[in-house]
Amino acid sequence: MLALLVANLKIMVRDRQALFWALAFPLILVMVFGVFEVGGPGSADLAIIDHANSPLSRELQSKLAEIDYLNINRQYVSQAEAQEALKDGDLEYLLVIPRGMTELSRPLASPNRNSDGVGSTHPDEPVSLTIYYDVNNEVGNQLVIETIRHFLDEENLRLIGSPPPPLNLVPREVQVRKVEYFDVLLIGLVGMGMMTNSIIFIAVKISMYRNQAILKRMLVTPLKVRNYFASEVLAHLLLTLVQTAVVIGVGVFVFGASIYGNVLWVFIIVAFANTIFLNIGFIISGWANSPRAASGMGNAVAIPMMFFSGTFFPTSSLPAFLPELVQVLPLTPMLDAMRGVAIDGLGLWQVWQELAMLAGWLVVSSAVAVKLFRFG
Amino acid sequence: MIEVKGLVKRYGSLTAVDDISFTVHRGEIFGILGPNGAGKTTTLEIIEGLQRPTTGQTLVLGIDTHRNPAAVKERIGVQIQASAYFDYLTLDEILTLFGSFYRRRIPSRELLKRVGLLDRARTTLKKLSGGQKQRFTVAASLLNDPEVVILDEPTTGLDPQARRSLWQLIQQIHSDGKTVILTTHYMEEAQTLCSRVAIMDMGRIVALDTPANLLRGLASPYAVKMITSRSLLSHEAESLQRSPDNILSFGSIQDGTAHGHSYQLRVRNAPQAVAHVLAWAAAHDITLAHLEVVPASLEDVFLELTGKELRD
Repeated sequence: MLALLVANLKIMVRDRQALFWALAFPLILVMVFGVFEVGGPGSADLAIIDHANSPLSRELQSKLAEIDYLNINRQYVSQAEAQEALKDGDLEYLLVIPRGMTELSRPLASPNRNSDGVGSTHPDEPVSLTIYYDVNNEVGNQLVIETIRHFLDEENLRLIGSPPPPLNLVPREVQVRKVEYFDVLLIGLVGMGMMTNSIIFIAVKISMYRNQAILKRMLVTPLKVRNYFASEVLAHLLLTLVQTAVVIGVGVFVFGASIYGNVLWVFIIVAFANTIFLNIGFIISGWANSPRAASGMGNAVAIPMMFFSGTFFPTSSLPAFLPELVQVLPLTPMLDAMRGVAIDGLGLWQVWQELAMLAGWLVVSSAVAVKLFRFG
Repeated sequence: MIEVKGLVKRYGSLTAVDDISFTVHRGEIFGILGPNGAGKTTTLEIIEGLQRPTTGQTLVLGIDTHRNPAAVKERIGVQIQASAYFDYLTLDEILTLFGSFYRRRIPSRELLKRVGLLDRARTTLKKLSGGQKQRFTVAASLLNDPEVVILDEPTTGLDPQARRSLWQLIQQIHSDGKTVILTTHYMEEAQTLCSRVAIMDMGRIVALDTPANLLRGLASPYAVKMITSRSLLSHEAESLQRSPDNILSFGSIQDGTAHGHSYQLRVRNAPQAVAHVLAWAAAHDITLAHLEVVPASLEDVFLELTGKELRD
């Protein structure tokens, strides 16, 4: 039994290519997401057609440039061209500053939503700035329009020369625990990497052993079948724990993700759930007639589960009855439990419902695996 | 040592093994001979405990394989047809691993030495030649110093030289006092190695005896082969066969080495047949480039018993 475990580990370590890809697959995803900083509000392009080009209009421009969310796009010089780009979706905002925005003695008007025209240059009329935008982008619109409006309000007050209004709101930033999308994603990637590896690795390996009659060769010795299973499971469990440590390590130390709870609980949940996915691998290997078929079937099981169980986006964003349905997939309670302990800082006992679900899966998958397993 | 009683194995409507019984005695090399699909491997797998019989019983060393498989497995050594071993372990490691499954075991290096692979102990199987691989799998079947060694087509796919070297190894195992049961579809192999041979065809044993007795039982224990300088006319061929008591069959044969026309006669009495052929050749003015008498082989036994050629 120990000899078989040692032999299994030797085989794993010596099969460098397979080992490398087992570790590389989730790591590549971690790097992709880590580098691209997904999950922030994103960004939008703003073009400014400044007919005034006065100190005042330049001040507004620099205020807008301070907003992280906005990229000031200076590619467009004519308004018609910029409006065309806006319609095509190459541009998110277009601000037109009329010639009249120079040294003013009269109040400025708030920006005219969706109005066309360049605004009046008549000295007696208020000067209107025009902002063009897409109505669908609610959050971004609020940010941009309110920034401009705020700037104009301040200018108006200054021009009127009135004292500051008696009622003021003073925003104070408080450092709250800020969970970033990447933190949530990292846990998803740990679970997903473990699941794909376990299912496909075992399915392909066992199916290959059967094709080469290695399983049969072992069966003609007095080796007990349960000892064989146990050694395969244990060897793979060690690989999974190493993989988990590497993925979490790179996520936290290289890309600055945070684990808020006890990382030990994460490892315990991974180890526990790993057995379920190994069982699924065994089941597939019992079904598939060749390693190729096993690999295909493994992917067919693993990849949809990866998306449905909320690796990348919450299960609540799935359509119709799917959010309830995917709760029964084994990856869903596992990810929920892992995020519970890692992100919300819960203890293992607080995610007992998810763990109970996993225990159910463990019992059922073990029974089916033993039932379907064939040696020859 | 091994008793097989009324063994039947059906897969759905297909009957792979159709009521066979035989006994293998201590110290024998027992051969099961037959074409692919005859039921040889299925029979062995039932004896080894890999498959359950539909009906019937197998006893190994007096133990029922299917009542107490663990006890049987402990005392037999098995080579599985076309079985591979782990790609990433060395020969030494594979033998040590498989040895760990048994209570009684022989040190791996001693085994490797016995099959002439000691210098390859630290290499992997991939780097061995076909013959070396087969020697290794035979070595692996000896790990637990078994009383019975079961080899399934040990020489299939080997070149003649590697085959001969494996025969020596099997004979050596036999002289170490082990009982060997093997399957083959090479007649020459059964003739050279086996003390007794069971000939199987379509799930049945069609004959079981020593190779010598099987040959003696043939209607035509000899073949006369000749090469003529020209092809025979039909009346010439007819007159050649005008000795019905002695000449059982006549036909042209493919002989890659001969330049000319090769023919073979299956005969009961060799001297009479030779005299007949010489007289016939003189009468029809036929020049014989070559004439030889060869004893029948198990191949001929199979042909006579089943009406079929044995093919790889």
